[in-house]
Amino acid sequence: MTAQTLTLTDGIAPFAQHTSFTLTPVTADGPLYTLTSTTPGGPEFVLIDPAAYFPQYTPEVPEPVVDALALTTHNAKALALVSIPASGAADATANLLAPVVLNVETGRAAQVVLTDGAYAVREPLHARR
Amino acid sequence: MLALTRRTGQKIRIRDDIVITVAEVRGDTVRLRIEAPRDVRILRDEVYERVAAENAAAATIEVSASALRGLLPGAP
Repeated sequence: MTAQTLTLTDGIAPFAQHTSFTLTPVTADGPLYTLTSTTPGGPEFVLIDPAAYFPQYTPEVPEPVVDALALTTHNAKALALVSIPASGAADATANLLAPVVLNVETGRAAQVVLTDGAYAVREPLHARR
Repeated sequence: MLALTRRTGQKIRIRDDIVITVAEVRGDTVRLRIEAPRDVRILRDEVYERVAAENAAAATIEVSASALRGLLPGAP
């Protein structure tokens, strides 16, 4: 995929006023992306396609979000925000509790907080040695 | 900022379309029922705060190319 504009009605907490972002793949076929606010000086994030790291990850998107974003099995994608601590990329974690879910056709997206308690807000990307 | 006192069964209405009902009070625990349009996101505040804090930590101005390489699956 190429760079795409995403619209998030509620933004990404606590940056609620930033509702327009550019999603750019870091490499042609993923699994890394950057998500940058279209407002200069706004927040920028790194995301992963969790399927490349956590094959068992199957987020259940609540129905109101499925409806609001007009998601189908063909147009839905879930990406996870990455946090990199001061110790570096080896200790990076992904937020599997609150993925960014998007409709790849329309660019409408939302950060969804999963409520079934199965996933961590900081899941290490790399297995602990 | 508004503080209201309600008894079990009483309600609070926000704008025209959000209604909070005090369903049950047992000891120091209150069970609330919330009716709202489907597109209104409702979360326990501690969950919202946890996600907002993690998002804020994840927000970066720029990430170096070497850090990005370190994120790839199987990176040492």
